[in-house]
Formats: sequence, C-alpha cells, structure tokens
Amino acid sequence: MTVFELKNISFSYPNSSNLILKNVSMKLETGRIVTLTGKNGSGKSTLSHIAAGLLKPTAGSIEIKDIPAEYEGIQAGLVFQNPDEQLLNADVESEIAYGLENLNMPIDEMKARVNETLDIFNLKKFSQHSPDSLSDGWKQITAIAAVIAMKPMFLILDEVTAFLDPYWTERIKEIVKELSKQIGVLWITSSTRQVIWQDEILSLQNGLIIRQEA
Amino acid sequence: MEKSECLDFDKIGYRYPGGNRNVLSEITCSLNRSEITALVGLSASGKSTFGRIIKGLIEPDRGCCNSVNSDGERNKLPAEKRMKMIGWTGAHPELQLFAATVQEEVGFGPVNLGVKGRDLDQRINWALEKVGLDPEEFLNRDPFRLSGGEKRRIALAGIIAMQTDYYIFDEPTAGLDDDGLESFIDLIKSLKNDGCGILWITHNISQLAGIVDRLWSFEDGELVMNMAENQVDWEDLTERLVSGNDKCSRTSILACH
Repeated sequence: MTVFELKNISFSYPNSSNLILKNVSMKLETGRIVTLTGKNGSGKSTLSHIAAGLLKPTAGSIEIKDIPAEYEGIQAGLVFQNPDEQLLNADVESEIAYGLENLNMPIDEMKARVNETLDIFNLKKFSQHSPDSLSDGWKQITAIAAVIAMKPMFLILDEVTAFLDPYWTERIKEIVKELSKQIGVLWITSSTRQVIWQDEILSLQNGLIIRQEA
Repeated sequence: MEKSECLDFDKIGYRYPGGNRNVLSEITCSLNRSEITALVGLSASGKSTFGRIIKGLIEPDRGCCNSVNSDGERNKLPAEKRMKMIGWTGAHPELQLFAATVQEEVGFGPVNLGVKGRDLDQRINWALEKVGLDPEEFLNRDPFRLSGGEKRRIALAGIIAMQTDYYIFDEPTAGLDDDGLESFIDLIKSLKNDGCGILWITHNISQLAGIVDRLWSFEDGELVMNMAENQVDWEDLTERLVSGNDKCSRTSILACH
C-alpha cells in the first residue's frame, strides 16, 4: 500500500539559484524499506525535511495516500541526524509524552503508551533523567522512541544509527523491520557500508535520484 | 614544555555530580605517540567522559594524568596543560562551530596561538586539505550552511590546525560518507606518521581492524580490554558488543503501533 509520494520535487534555498533537488520522485509503501544514500551535502536531509513538511518545495507535490480515515497517529515521523536538535523536554518520560500530548491523547492512554515505549526502548532507567545528561547513543534512542510513540504513518530515519553501539544498531534495525510491515519507511545514510535494506535503494547525486540495483 | 612521549592515566575515577554510579572506575592506561588507539564500548560505558577528562574538560574525582618523557620520567599534567597539548572534537561538531566563514573557523585556533599572515593561510589550507576539502571551494563559505558531514570535517580541520601532540576524536565518523571516512582514516594515519598520539572513540568497530595500533574497550566504566590490534579477536569483540548488556523488552513494537 502506498502511503506517501513525492512527485517531481525541486528545491533551492532562498536567495540561491542552486537547485539542491531536481525533479525528485519517490514512493513509500508499507512492507518495504526505501534506502536513500548520497554523499555529504547531496541534499538527503533537505529531502527528508521536505518529506516531513518542514520545508516547502520550490516545485512539485507531496501526496499522502491510502491512510485510513480512522488512523490516529501522525502522518510523518522524522528522526533527525543529530538528536540534540530534536530533544527539548526536561526528562525522558516527558520527551516521549510530548508528541502524544500534542495529539490530544487521553491521559490514561498516553500514560500506557509512554510506559510501553519506555519498555520497548529500555528507557525506564532514564525516565526521570534529562536527555541532556544522556550519552549520545541514548539521546538517539530517546529521539527514535519519541517519534515512534506517535505512530507515524511513514517514518523518515536520517542517519539514526550514527551514534548507536552495535547492540542498539541491531535492535533498531529489528524494530524498523517490524514497523515496516505496517508503515512506510525511508532510511537515510551517507555511507554505502550502512546500506542494509535491499527493498529499494535510491542514490541522490547532483540533485537527481538514481535508482540502484538491489 | 618537555617533550611528551606518552600520556599516562593512573586510576582515573569519576562520578557525575548528583549521579548514583561511578561513570569511570580506576582507569589505568597509556596513550602513546605515533600510535592510533581506539576506544570502544556500549553507549554510556564512559568513553566520551574519559575523552573529556583526558582533554581537561572535566576534572576526575580520583587519579591523575601524567606526561612521560623520553627518559621515562612521569610528570603530573594538570588540566590547563592538557588543554594545550591535546586537540579534541566531540560528537557534534556544529556545537563547536561559531565563525562566519570556514577560513575564520579553521584559523581561530592558530590565530590564538599567534600564527598570522602567510603562515596562517598555509596552516588553514593545510588543515582543509588534510580533511579532504578544497580550500578554494570552502574558505569563504558559511560553516552553518554546510551539510552535517561537511561541518564535521570543518570541525576536524579547526582542531588539527592547532598542530598539537595528541588528538582525541569522539565519534568523528558518525554521519560521514565513504569519502569522508577514507579521508578521516588518511588524516589520522598522517597525524600518526607526524608523531602524534591519536585516540579514536567510536562504537563502530567494523572500521578499526588493520587501521588502529591499540584497542581499549570499556564496560560500565571499567577498562576491560587493552591490547595491540594484532591480538584482538574482532569477531569475538563484535559478538560481545552486539549482545550488549541491556535487558531489553522484546515486546512487539507492532503492539504499540
């Protein structure tokens, strides 16, 4: 099922004639993980911001598709490359609850969801700690957990294993694989060594999407 | 200052203020010149804290840092001296960037050391080339408008432009593309050949075999492995780190979803 589609997206930053993205099209579907690679500065993070609605494309359209009317989660969940750009609450528990509060979730349901999320990501031991006091790896896990708790219909993960140790890299891969059965996933990485999903591999080069052989 | 042949750490211990556990316990080891040492371990095992202590950004609760000269004499090395002898970059380079241009950013350290004029220009160009960036293309650019990987390289260039005896790189390859990784490895090999001592803090052990000279591994704030690269059983180490020590819930994520 297609949940999200970018059609002929172009983008340049204000006061710049340099097109970072040129006529980029891509689809996210349930059951498969799309990997986006490209060198540093190729526009991957810009594309992720457009997909999440944080930047408006210069040209092209974004279509959210086939999402059941009763679906209660958010549409786009974006996990930033640097967790410090995403974490803003006084403690880890509040960080997980923050997005849910903004979805107006009933308090009992929210408490249960926060509890379950803390459990899945083994964050209970840090629930009352400030995210600032955590190691980079645990900050990244907290940022991922807070986004997944909001049940996004498609998930954009920008270099999310960059600060994770081998154990948590494997665990996050397991979680993403399982989630992808129900939602669309875009996995962004600069390193071709980090290409771990073979469903569909896209490479961003000079603003253009090149489809790679799986 | 007398020439330092290695940095020697003697029973370093640390607990964060208000913390309920020791982040580091009795860490004793030496960082040698002309060697690349990797420090690995799970998240929150104390790697970054140790790097900050070596640099002098955090004062340890217990133990001390010494400099060892060519005659084997050990001299205590207070934080203010370590700050000058050791270049350090943390995991988020954008936190270190502040200048309006790459030229100003990379030149900031050398300017503060009194380098100026043509020597300064040469130093900046040298540092940018070492991290694989073309000075002509980058000198006048705004560091804050660069990509995450480019920011990291600029931060690295700013550190090595100080030309210190030792360097600590904390997760320097996170977010770097393949060229950036190769460029970083070339950089540390080159710094090693120049006689510098390098500490590379990382969780990504797949990048280390055949590159580093020595490996330290931390578990819960303790040094559990300190050996030459050719003695390391990489398969076993990988397996241990992938197994982790977290008792993680295996609750299905789809139940939450």
